[in-house]
Amino acid sequence: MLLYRLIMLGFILLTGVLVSIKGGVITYTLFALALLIPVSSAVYLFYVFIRFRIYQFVDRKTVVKCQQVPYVFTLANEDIITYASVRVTFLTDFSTYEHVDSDKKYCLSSCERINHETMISCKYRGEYTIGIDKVIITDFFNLFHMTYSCPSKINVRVLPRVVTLDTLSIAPSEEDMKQNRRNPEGASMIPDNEVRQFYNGDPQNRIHWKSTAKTQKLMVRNFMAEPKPSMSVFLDTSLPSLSEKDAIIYSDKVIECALAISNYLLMHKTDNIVFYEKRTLMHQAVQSKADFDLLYNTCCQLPFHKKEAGSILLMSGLLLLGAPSHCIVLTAAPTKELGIACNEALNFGHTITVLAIGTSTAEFLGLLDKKIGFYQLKPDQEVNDVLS
Amino acid sequence: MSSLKFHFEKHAFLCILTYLTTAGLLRLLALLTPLGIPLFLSLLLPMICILIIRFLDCHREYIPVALITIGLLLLTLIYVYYKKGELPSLFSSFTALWTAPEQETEFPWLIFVQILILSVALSLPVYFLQQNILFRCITSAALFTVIVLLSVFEAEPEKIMILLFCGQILFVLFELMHRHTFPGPEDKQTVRTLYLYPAVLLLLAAIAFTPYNKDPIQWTLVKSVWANVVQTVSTLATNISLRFQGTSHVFEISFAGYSQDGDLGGNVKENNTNTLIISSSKLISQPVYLFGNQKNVYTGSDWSLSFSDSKATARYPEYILDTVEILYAVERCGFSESDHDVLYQNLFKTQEYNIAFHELRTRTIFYPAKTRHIFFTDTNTDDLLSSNLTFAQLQGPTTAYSLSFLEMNLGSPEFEALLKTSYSYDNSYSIDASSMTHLLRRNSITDFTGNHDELESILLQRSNEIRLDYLNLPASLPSRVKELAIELTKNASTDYEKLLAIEAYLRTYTYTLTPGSIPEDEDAVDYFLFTTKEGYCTYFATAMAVLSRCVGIPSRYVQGYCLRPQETDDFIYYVTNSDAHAWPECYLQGIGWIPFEPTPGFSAARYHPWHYETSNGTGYTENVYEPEISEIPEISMIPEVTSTSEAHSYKNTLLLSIIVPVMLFLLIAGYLLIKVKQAKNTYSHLSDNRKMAYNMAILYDLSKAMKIQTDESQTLQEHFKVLQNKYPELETVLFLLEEQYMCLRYGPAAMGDQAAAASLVFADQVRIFLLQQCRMNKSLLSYLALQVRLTLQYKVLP
Repeated sequence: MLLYRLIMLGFILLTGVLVSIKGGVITYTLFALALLIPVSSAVYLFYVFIRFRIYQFVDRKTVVKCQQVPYVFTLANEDIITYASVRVTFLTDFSTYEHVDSDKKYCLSSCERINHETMISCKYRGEYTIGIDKVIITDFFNLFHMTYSCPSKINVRVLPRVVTLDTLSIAPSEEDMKQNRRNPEGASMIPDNEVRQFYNGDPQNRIHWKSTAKTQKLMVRNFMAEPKPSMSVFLDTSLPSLSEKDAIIYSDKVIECALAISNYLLMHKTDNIVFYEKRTLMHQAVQSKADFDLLYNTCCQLPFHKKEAGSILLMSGLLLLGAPSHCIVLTAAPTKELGIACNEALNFGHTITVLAIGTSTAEFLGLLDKKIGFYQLKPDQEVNDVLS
Repeated sequence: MSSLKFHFEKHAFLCILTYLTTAGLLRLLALLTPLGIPLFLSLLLPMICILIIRFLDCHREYIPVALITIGLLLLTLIYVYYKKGELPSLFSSFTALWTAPEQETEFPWLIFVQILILSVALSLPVYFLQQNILFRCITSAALFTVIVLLSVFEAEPEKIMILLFCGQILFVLFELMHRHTFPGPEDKQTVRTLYLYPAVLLLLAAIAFTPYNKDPIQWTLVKSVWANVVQTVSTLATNISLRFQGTSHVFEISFAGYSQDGDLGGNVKENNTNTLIISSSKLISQPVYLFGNQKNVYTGSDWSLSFSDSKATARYPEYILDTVEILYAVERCGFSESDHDVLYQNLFKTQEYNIAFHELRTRTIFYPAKTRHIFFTDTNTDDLLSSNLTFAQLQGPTTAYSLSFLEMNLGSPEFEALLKTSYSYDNSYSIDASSMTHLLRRNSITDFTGNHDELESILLQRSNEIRLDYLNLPASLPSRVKELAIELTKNASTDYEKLLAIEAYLRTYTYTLTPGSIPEDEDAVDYFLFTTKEGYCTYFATAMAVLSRCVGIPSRYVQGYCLRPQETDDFIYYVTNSDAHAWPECYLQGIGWIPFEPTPGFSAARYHPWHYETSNGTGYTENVYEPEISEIPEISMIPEVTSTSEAHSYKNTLLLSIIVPVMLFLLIAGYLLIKVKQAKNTYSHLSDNRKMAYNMAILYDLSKAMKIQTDESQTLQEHFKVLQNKYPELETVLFLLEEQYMCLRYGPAAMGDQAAAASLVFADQVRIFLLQQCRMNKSLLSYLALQVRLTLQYKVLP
């Protein structure tokens, strides 16, 4: 473009010099031609800007993260004049497109339409815009170009993905709660069986003689499952000061981790409670698929904020729990207060594991007690890389 | 429609290109040959030919039919005319069309045939050439070359021809650029290029309406705009430099547009910006020369300033000594008392001026020759002793001062006679004390306090210093300048006559404001005197000063303003930049510095004698000299702006009406903020129990305000239950809050820090939530009223 502009400028200067030296119809006409070419280019650009039509369509507006969705965009020339050069760029921060080249230029002659069908997938959970970002039109002499934002944007709502984990490396190893020395009132006080009346056909070795003596009726044991320790997941919805893009990425990672962990625990028949803040402190016990679905729906719209609330969330959740528990803290804003809260929680007999999303966590790690498990998930890493 | 579009896309591009070239070539033929080709036919017939050629090219099976048809037509024509017996004349007419086109033809329709033949002959090869991109490029290049050659050989083609060629060139350019950007099948390329025809048409139509002229463009508008811009920028730069160089800038004639950098030479442009406003006590009837500054060292290209130590003017201002010198000269004439009045009346006129700066920023004090006294309203003066009087700081539009001086009647015979005398301060005349006192008092000169017996020695000393400082000439001055000076003054006996001779000679030169620049290796005076012989005031002033020095008369180059008489009803005169002037002043021993006017056009009014009365006259004219001994009154006749006070009162009212409410608001807001801060401080020092109680009270109050079912007999648990039922999302936090509060009220131990902090956070969350609900359910006014009440009552800012 620079070369063409220089040529044009040289032509203007040359004809200007000629018309300053010599009069006549030829020199004046050439000079007028030299001056009017840039003017006509500008007018042409403006005309194309007004008349150019661009359509884009996505199969559905609510998608799941990383799910491929059909996407179509159409460039249309509904005019009698050729659109010499049109280029479109796409929003690629949060979405990817198959077989689409942002550097490709299109030329549309009169009444021509170019249809491009492809697949789009969204990289993060949240609500944002996808599709065509800007349209760049160039005139027929390659002198000027005009860039403008695509007038019709596509806003999509991207739901979080539930990652199925084979193992959960960050969960503490299973222990016999009955032998939990930290808890003087541990599960050893919980009866590991129930008794019921004897029916014909019950094996005799299951007769509970003590209860039988007490009740003067024949009673048999009815085993309960060995009590498993409960797990608590603390979903810290606070974010540090980040750009809009990073905020979406970090929040997506936190949600994804929470869902993956909760799903894993549910699949392994471990009850878990997820604590989060949505205007106020809230919690969701996940003991069945329906509970998990409720949690998932909540996570789809869970807002994140910049106010530091991780420590409050942890302490208030632990107050609610009462009994010691295994706690997994998911946070994108590992602050000093949260570190202190984790240490305090440890003193109260809880098992704490912290999964921090982000890159600068060294200072936070220094605050934590050595008995607290710490894991870091970088924004460019997948959940599987750390949790499995 | 789609079929039409299809055919258009298939055929139009080639046809358009061929048509543009063929029609253009026909017009070219019309230009270069004597063939008379009418414009209409040369535009119409190629179109028809090309369409037919294209049709036949696409449907070659019709070619024999076409040829047969044409042949039959021809044969029919020949047969008809043969029958009429006009066949020979037809052939001869047809031949004459080509060989002698200026002749009238018997068969006008043959012109049509001629053009048809030409169209076919041109369009056929062009058509086949245009089918290949390479030949299209070659054709375009050839056409452009033809245009250039026509211009070189000063042919005057029609505009339509150039437009046709330009159309062809533009289309080929578009096609080339498109191919470069979008390589692909040729048919698609041509279609895309074809559909740029609206842009080409519009461009050519716009060019068709642009005017043209036989003469080249003069760029007068551009030049004048440029000149205005340059002048504005240079004025701005001058003003900026004046602002920042407050302690150095004295008046230079270059302010007013005379030359660019202070050197002599260069063109000048007139500028009518008002610089000074002068209020006079009397009508100004002849030009007034206001002394700005003077220079004494001529370098060959400009003037500079350099003095030896001056002992005379170390005691008294130079301008006072100059005035005393001329009055002493009159005194030496020895007139009787009764003749004195007449003499003075014919020699001098007292004038009082009040000078105010207008659009001028300088440190220079302007004054006329023979000034008696200068009154300043403040003492911001720097140098009052030398000739170049200055203020200490840069002065601007508010500066004014008044002065009185003796205006000289240079045209009167008495004055001429006085100027022709010379005196060598050899004590041949001595003045007694009373005469001197009388002389000074009569002329109201109070700044000279010397004794009568030292007057001559002071004037002699001054004369010697003047000779030392004002006779120098550069060694590089060509000798012919001196020879010219001697030649001009060979018949003069006195210094004054010599100066008059030089002045008269210079007045024969030409006055112009655009003399051009002086070459760097030339002496300015020499170049002016012997080469250009034209210039403006600085040239003439410099030349006369140099020529005077060549014959041994001290002279100086003076810059200032020359105020010419103007029409006025109120004796107020406006000095503009156009009045900036340069003139020479020459020293006549015993007389003092006398200004001369060698510039053509300025001298006539200068040497015009006033009306004067003799001693036998019955009355006085306005130019009468009044020899009363009185103090010079202070004059304040500067026009004042009367609307300032009104403007001030309006401004004051506006300021008050804005400032007072703002101040009040700030005071009230400040008071409230201080109170709240105090309350917050107090709150922060409360115990956790008290804080908790405080927050619970707020929550209860909020619930009441929102008309949530409350009862005095309710327990806290019951109240929270009601809240939980109404707002399920508060379930968790209310549960925790209730627990904490119960521990606090009834528990055995105080809350831990973390628990206290957590409980306060819970309370905050509930409060904020309730307030949001309040905002949604209440009107804005009610909500604001609730906010204010809570703030005042509980001194927190929710």
